[in-house]
This record gives sequence, structure tokens and C-alpha cells, in this order.
Amino acid sequence: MLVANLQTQGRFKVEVDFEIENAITAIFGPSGSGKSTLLRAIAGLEPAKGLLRFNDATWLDSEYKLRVDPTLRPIGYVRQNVQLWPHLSVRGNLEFPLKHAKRSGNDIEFDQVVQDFELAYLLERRPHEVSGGESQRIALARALLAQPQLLLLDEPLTGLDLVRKAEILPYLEALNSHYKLPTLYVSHAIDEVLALCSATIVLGNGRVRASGATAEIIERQDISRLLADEESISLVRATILEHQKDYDLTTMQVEDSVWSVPMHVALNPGEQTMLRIRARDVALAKRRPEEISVRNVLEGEIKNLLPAENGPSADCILQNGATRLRARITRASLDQLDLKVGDRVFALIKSVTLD
Amino acid sequence: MSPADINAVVLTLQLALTTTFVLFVIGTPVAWWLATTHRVFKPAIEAITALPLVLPPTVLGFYLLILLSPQSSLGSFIVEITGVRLIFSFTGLVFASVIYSLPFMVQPLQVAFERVQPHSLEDAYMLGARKIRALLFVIFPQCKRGFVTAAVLTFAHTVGEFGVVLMIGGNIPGETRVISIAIYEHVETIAYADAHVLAAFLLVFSFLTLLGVFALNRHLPLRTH
Repeated sequence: MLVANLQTQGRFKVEVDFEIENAITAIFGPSGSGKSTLLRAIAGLEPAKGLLRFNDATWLDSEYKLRVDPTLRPIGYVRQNVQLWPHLSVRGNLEFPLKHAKRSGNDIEFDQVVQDFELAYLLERRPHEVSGGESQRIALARALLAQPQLLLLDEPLTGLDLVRKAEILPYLEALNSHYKLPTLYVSHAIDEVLALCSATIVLGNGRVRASGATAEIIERQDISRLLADEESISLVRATILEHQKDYDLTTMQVEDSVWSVPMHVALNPGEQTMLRIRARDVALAKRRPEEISVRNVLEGEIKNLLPAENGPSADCILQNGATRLRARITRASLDQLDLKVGDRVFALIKSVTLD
Repeated sequence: MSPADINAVVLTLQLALTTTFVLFVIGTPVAWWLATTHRVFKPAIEAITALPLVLPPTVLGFYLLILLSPQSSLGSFIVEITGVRLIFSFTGLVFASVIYSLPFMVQPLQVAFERVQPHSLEDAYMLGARKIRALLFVIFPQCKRGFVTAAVLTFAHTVGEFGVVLMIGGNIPGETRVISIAIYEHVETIAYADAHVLAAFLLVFSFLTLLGVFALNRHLPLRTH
């Protein structure tokens, strides 16, 4: 468990007081809200005052003038657009923490990490011979080999295109399920947060604006206003069934429904993918619609209704299994259809973006 | 080549090697500090380290002569505690050469340090390496070309110095009579044949040294990416 009560001392002031449990927690907020500064302060790279405790260890206690050197904090840190060290091969980069860190504990082994992150074919390459996505994977593996007990990930997917992102997301998820390290995940992308983080801390102007379970936080109106520049979207996990070449469509399983999505790349059957769905592309019906052109339908239960305080729109959150979908309808429709929390409705998805 | 001239060649190489080694030890931290600091007085320090580039060697030699002569307070103090006289001696020449060649060590290193991949040091810290290890195994290996360039330039520049040596070293065989002084002496005494031999030696040596550096640098890219 991480307990932080910090005031950073640099030009940009961040002042926070929070605790996190052993799971992936998102630090979420618009750019300039102090996310990275906070992470750097926890790592010890940014001068800060206050109290910082991780499990039984105290890393910072200004009152007693105690400050643990960054190299001695058992942290795995991965920044955005990591560049591997050019003078070492991929193997050399990965072995660095094993050779030079005086940390013990987790017994995370080289061969295991190489296997988990599927890096064997890259080991003898030079850093300029690997792609951006591969670099990021190597950097994650390298951070694990530093035997961390806490992971700090600073926008590890930012700067990668959607295909690369989709490549790395599964590794991040595996990281969570396999290594079970408490993680702080900085991001300004709501889809990543939804996909990976069970808890969320929202930062604005260097202060904590909200914290709690991700699903609840994301649906709060005041939070969506804080993220005004972000479009309301849902992220939905789908399993590829098959590619229909004559229609240029790929069918995929989403919960108990089968959708077909236009795709130019043929993914392999059984592969998982993330679909990004804008709230304004989702319509609702109270009965299963028949003989319409929209092909993708998901039945679900209304979990939350969020009419705008001013303006015509209202957002409906519905759930089916692990999937939560946000639909933007008008307040007028909301009244006419007489939708209530707990109702079962059919969501009609007009457009899907592959993430 | 006469035994006296061979002596001059050996002495010159000794001086250049010693100077390069001393400057490697002193210049590396100076260059690192200049490459990483943001303090307001950094430009002043940069200007001071670059001064030998623009000052006539005679000016530098003159001040060193005044400062280090046993009649001065610093000079007499040094003689008192170390027993070493810094003028008209090999040790004095090393001291003067270190100052004279300082920018040739510091500037290439500073440039190399500034070109190191951003965040290298922090990334090393986060992987558990303390500062010395981070420098030795992450920063310096990215600066191989800078180190080679700095060492060779320092060495070659020291081999070629004349004014400073003349001012504070004089012309003592086996102690301060380096190649450039020997050539000057041969020309003064109209022994052109001897002057030719030494001059040609210096010319060929300098060319080969620089050729070596440029050839080597083709294999050590600016950034080892």
C-alpha cells in the first residue's frame, strides 16, 4: 500500500494526499495537471516535502529529514517514448538492472520476463533496430528486472499509433495478472484507464479532484467536464471470430452478441481486440430492433443515467457482463422512452473504431 | 637525428602523454559539470576554460611565470610544501600545458555529454544504479567518440605548444627542451638540416594522428545508436 502526502518543490506545484491499494491505479487528468510531476516525486526524481510510505518502508518524511535515495526505492519506472540506451544491445539493456542494482526481493528472472514479453527474437538487436512498440515492451521488461515492488508507468502508450498500442495492451494486462505489482498508471487517455485500471485518481491543477473505482469516476459529470477536450467513449473488448473477405467485414464476439466491423487488416480468429465506441454513435431501443441496417446490437441493463445540467443530451451507461457502454441520447428521448436504472435496453452501435 | 634531438622527441611525448592523462582526470568532471549545470555563473566558467583558445601563449606563459616563480608568494609556497620548483622544470611544463590545453579536453567532452540520450541518468537511477555506476556504464560509453577526440586533440595540441614552454620552461635539455624549442634553436643557429628533420617528424606525426582520429570516428558514430 502506498501512502502519499506530498508537496513538490519545483516550479510546478503538486499537492496530494492519497492512498492506493495493491492494484493498477490510474492517475488521470488533462495535460498540465501534474500527473508526471507526481510520479517523479514518488520516484524521488522531483524534490518534494511531506510523507511517502510504501508498505513498511518510509521513503520520505520531511519532519524527520528522511529521504530515501531514488536508486534504493524498489520502483519500476517506465516513461513515455522510452529510448533504450544506444550503446547496449537489447540484451545489454535488459541485463543492466541485474548487474548494477543492489536490490533483492522479487526474484523476477531474466528468462521468465523474456518469455512473458516475447523478447527472445529481439535480444541480440541494437536499439535502433527495434520499433517503438518493441522498445516500450523492452522497457517494461527492463523495469521488471529491476525487481520492483511498485510500478510507475508514465503514459507508456502515448506516442504509439493504434496498432502498436493494441500490441502492448495485452502485455500490460499480463503484467498485472502475472506479476501482481501495485501500479500507478499515468494517462490522459480515458480508454487506457478503462481498460487497465480498477481505481482512478483524477488530478487537476496539481490537486486530487476525485478518487475511487474507475467505472464510477469516469461516469461522473464533474469529471467529464474536467476532461472537456476528451470525447466520451467506451472501450469494449471483442474476440475475433472470422474475416469475411467478400464483405470486408470481420465478425467478432462481444459478450453474448456477434458484431461485424469493417476492417482492412485481417486479425486471427481468437485474437482479442479493443473497440472504441463514441457515446454519440450509440442509440437505444426498448425492444430488439428488426430489419434495420445497423448490424451491431448489444443488450444490457441500464446502470446509470446522466442527463446534462444544461444542453439537450443525456448519457446512459449500460452493462452486459464486463462490458460497459455509454450511449448519448437526448433528454427528450430519455423522457419519452421512460428509461430508468435497471431497465433492459438494446444498444445500437452505428460506428466502431478499432483501437 | 642527434641524441639531443631524440631526447627532445621523447621529452615531448612524455609531456603530451602526462598532460593528456592529467587533463582526462581533471577535464571529465569539469565537462560533466558544464554539460549538466544550470547555474547562473556557468557562462563565466565556460569563458574561463575557453580562454587559452584565444590568448596568445606568451600571455599565458607570462602570467604563469609571474605567478609560479619562487619569488612570488604562490611559487615560494609550492616550493616550501612540495620542494618542486614550477618554472624551468618538467613539472612546471606539465602544469602550464594542463592550463594551456584545457579547452581541448573540456569542450569535446562537454559536447559529448550534452548529446547523451536524454533521461539516461534518471533511467539508470530508476533501474537501481547509483551515480558512479550510471556514469561509468551508461553515460561514458555513449561518449566514446568524445573521449577519443578530446584525448587526441589535447595530445596533439600539447605536442605543438611553443610560446608557453619558452616563457616558463626555457631550453634545458632533458627537462624542458621539447621539439618545438629544439627546432627554434636549430633555426637560430642556422642548422637548417636538423630543423628539417624535426619539423618533418612533427608534420608527419600530426598528420597521422589526425588521420587516425578521423578514420576511427567513422566507426564511432556521433551517437552510438
